[in-house]
Order: sequence, then structure tokens, then C-alpha cells
Amino acid sequence: MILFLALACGGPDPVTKPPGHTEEPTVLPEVSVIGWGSVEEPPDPPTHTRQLKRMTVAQVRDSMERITDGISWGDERDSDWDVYAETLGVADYQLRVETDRSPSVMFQKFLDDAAGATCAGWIEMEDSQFHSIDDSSSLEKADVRTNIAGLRWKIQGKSRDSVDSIIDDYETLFVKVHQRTDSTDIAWTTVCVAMFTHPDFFMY
Amino acid sequence: MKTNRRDFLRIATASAVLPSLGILPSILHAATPTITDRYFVFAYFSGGWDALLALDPRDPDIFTPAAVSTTGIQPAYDRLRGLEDEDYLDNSTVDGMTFGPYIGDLADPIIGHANKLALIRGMTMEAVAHQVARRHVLTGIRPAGTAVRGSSVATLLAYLLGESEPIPNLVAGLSSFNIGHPLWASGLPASSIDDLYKALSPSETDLMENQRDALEAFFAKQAGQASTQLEKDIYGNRNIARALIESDLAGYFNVDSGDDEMLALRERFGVDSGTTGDGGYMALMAAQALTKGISRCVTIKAADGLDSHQGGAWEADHGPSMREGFNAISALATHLEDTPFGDEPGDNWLNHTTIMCFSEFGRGAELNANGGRDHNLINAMMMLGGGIKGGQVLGATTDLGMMASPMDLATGTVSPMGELVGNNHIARTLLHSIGIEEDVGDFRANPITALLEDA
Repeated sequence: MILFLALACGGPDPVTKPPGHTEEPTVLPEVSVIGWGSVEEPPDPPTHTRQLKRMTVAQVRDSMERITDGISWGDERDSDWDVYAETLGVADYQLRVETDRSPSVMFQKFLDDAAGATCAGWIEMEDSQFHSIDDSSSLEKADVRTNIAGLRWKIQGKSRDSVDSIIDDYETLFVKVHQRTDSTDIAWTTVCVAMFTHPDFFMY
Repeated sequence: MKTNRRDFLRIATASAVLPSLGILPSILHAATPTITDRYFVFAYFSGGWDALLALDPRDPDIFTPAAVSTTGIQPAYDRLRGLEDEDYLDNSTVDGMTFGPYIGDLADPIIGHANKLALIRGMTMEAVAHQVARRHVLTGIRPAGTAVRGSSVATLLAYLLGESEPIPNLVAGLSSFNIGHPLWASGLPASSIDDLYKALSPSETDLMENQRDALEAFFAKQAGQASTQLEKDIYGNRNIARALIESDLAGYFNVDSGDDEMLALRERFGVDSGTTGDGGYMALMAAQALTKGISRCVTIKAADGLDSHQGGAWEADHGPSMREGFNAISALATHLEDTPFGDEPGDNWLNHTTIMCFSEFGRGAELNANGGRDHNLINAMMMLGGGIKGGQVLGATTDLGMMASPMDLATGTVSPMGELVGNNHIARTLLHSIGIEEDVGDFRANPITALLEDA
């Protein structure tokens, strides 16, 4: 109420402008152009954020066999993946109606066993597609990195052109094992095992 | 020199454990057991057992076929194959503790376990679907649909009792759950003793030592770069798998080794004589895991194939399968009793091991149209060993339809003022048995103090 009274009774009268009068437009100060600098734009946000899943036992078994041109873990007719299926949490639809897809202790133990057997067989295989270089005994850095890129592509589906610090780690692994064993086959087998047992292979 | 296994495990799991602790209910941090030398065996009879055949029998002279319409109870012992009239009821050495025809060696007066075991009759299970009911028993909390709402009781107990064993929680033949507890307390699953042996053994095509060292160094670097909890769990589990192999435990589970100790165990657990079925191997595995200091909690499948809806299966197989399971448990109890514990003269492993025999639910008191028995909410359970006041029967089913009766939890007697006992009471009681009085598992039930030795 007091506010209304103050407005009604006090305050200067507004200046009355004659009709037809127009004010000069105010000239705005010049705006200086701000430089954007050289900061890189942030990467695009990921298009999906779902939780990674582990491959099923059947997916792992089939993937390993296809990648290696048919090398089975254990007996060809009765893969060890099937022998250990219950321990690995595969659903039997009697006691268990859901398949365990956690990267459990047991899964990783048996994956390690499978990778060891599979990689050893794959590198020794006649007409093996293991190597992506002509000279499989080459120790040239470029050849080693080319072969690592080839194995990553075959095993983990990573582009041959991708640049990733893990390639350096695989190279270090290859060099270390070669230094200790003086065998490129053993060194490559170890790299192969590392790729099959890395989450880049069994998680998606 | 090999890395000390325990240190290895600690390093292996530290990165995965610490973040998990943050989401634990604060009450768990405060709960410290006052009894720390307690071990647990959870023995599962798979498929839903018929309590009339072992744990909660009825006298067939009273509950005759002619009286079924008025009693709603049909023992039908005369239909069971290979039984004589005198086999129907097995009166133990304990007053009032009568078993059905398939209790096996557990009631044998010479073996003498009856005075160490407690029967809980007239339990209600709340679900008659196998998976839901099984998860309810394992966790002590009714699942939401089929989704568990808590860790397995074995996981909780393993967590509370510490991580001093290499495999704190061994689970053979069924599922295990871990919700919010550290990775090391998770059940290590193995469907059989052979699989456990393989899991603890290096592969036949294992890498050479220098290959292995380089490979583990590679993965140690990857683990150090892990940023998500999932990645940390993956590398943590990998390290546990490697540490278990390094610990040279496999030999304890090599049932085909042919060494004298293993041959004696095979005989004791009846694995060659066929008296214990697969339960014999499971019980042997539990015995080794406990007495060799490998596990704190062991869950085993003592008997399988009890889901006998058809008359033929119920008449011929159900009882014998139960008996094999009970024989296996009897052998386990005997072995634990014969194995000295610690330095105290006369002390033995059975004094420190609580054995719980359970099935997901019971079976109907009347035969179905096929001559078998269907699922039933009413059930019975058996416990023996450390912490359990043996030689008693708690609760009862009614003589009209075998319904559950309320039990006075302090005395174990039937009382209209008592409570209907379910899985949550049992879970709470197990916590109580190690001196944890708070309801740290959120079971929302009182403990059955009548079941406990020192209550």
C-alpha cells in the first residue's frame, strides 16, 4: 500500500516529447573480435553408454575357432569349453536358467588355458594366417608393429590403422619374451595369448 | 621366488575391493564376529526333497491310505521300491527324533550323529518355483521376481569372518551371489571336484615361466590403467585365478592321484562303493577345503534329481538319492570329527563347522495324480556341528495336512504365540551363531536361539 501511495504521489513527471520527434540512435562501441585460440574441440560424446558385456562361452569358443581357422580347445568333438560349461555358469535350464556372463575367476582361468592351447596350435598350423608379414622371424620394429596390428585386427577387431598406446605394450611384451627365449614363435604365441585374454577380446 | 599367495591376493584384489567397501551398508563395518573359528558347509539337496521320506515322517499305521481324506497326509511308504515294513521309520538314539526310511547313515546309532543334529520342522518357504525358492534359501531374503536382493548367506559369512583363507567362499554345483561385498568374498564356482582341480592346476599347455612373467607384467600395466570398476574387477579376478594356481592347492582335490591319503578319503566318502553318489565327491571336496585351511564357507550339492513329480521317479529314485546325500553328509561329519582342530587336545573340526542341509522347498503331503509329489511350501531343514545344539527337534508340522506351526524361537516348541519360521530366520540365526547380534543382512527376522549351543 505504501508503495502504491509513493508511486501515486511522488516522483518527477515524465518528459513529454512532441509528436514526430525521433531520437538519434545510440552508436554502439565497436566490439573487438575475441580470438578462439588453439584449444582443441572436445571429442564427441560416446553414442552409447551401456555396460560392457562379456561374451558367452559359446561366443568365445566359436570366435576362437573361427579366428584360428578351426583350432579347438580340447577334443574337437567335445570342446573343453563344453566340458567346463557348468562351472562357467552356462544355463542348463534346470538348475540354472540364466547364463553367468561375469568375467569371473573361473572364466578367466579357463580362457587363459584355452588361449595357451589355441595360440600354440595356431602358430604351428600349416598355412597359418597368424602372421601379417612375409618374414615371420623378422625383428624389425616396423614388422613387429605390423604383425601386432594384424593380430589385433583378427582377434580383437581393432582397425589396423588405429593408434593406441597398448600397441607399445604388446611390442614390449614381444621384445621381452624374445629376449628371454630367443624365439619369435614363443614371443608371438605370448602376444597372441595376451590378446585373447585381454578384455578387448571377450568384452563388448 | 614365488610371490606369497596371500600377499598376491591382497595386491590382486585391493584395487577392486576398496571401491566396493564404499557402498556397503555402514552397519557392516561395525559388525565384528565374536566367534571367529567357525566354518560353514551348506549342503543342498537339489529339486525339492520329500520330508516324509527322511526329516518329517509319519507313522503309516496311523496315516493309512484310508485316512488320507481326513488327514491330508499320505506317507505311501508301501509304494517305495525295495523297502520292507520295518524300514519305514527309523527311531534314532534321541528321544522323539524319528526319521523316515531314507535318512541313511546319519541316524545310524553306531556312527552316532543323531545327538549332534537338530531338525527344524514346519518351515515355510514362500515360493515353489525352483530358482526363486533356491535363491531365497541361499540369500535368506525373498527375491524380487527372480532377482536376488542380497548376497548369499555364505558370501556374507565369508566376508564377516575375514579373508585369511585362499578361497573364502567355495561354491560347488549351484549359484552364488555377491551384492556389495568385496570381490574376495564372492563364491568361487566349481560344478565338480574335477573342475576345481583343473581350475587350481596350471594348464597342460601352460606358458613357460619367462613367458608367464612377461605376460603378467603386461597385465599388471593394464590393471594399473583400469579406470572403471568393471575393468578393476576383470583384472582383480585374473590375478586371483593366477594366485590360486601359484598356491599349489590343486593336489588336495586330485581324486585320481592314487596316493594313500586320497585313497583313504575315497573310501571314507564312499565314492567308489556308490553309497554316496556324486554327493560323496562333493563332501570330500568340502572336507579338504575346510581341513586344509582353504575355505571358510563351502556350499555343495549333496544330492540331485529330487524333482519327482512322476510316480516312477518318486517310488524308485527320490528316496535313494536323498539317502546318498545324507550318507555323504554323515561321512563328512565323521571325517571332521576325526580331524583334530588346532592345538587343543580332543578338539576337532566338527566342533567348529556348522553343516546345514537344505532343499529349496518340500513336496506335497499327498501324492499327485501321477503317483509322484508336487512342490510344497512346507519344508524341513537339518543342522549339525559347531554352534548347534544337537539332539533336538524344533517346530512341527500339523497332523492335518502337514501345515507349518508357529514356533517359540527361544524354546523350539510349537506355540500359538510363536513365529512361522522361514529362510530369513535361519540366515539370522547363522549370523547369531558367530556372535553378530545386529541384523547386518537385513533379514528382518529374529534368530532361533533354541537352535544354538551357547544361546
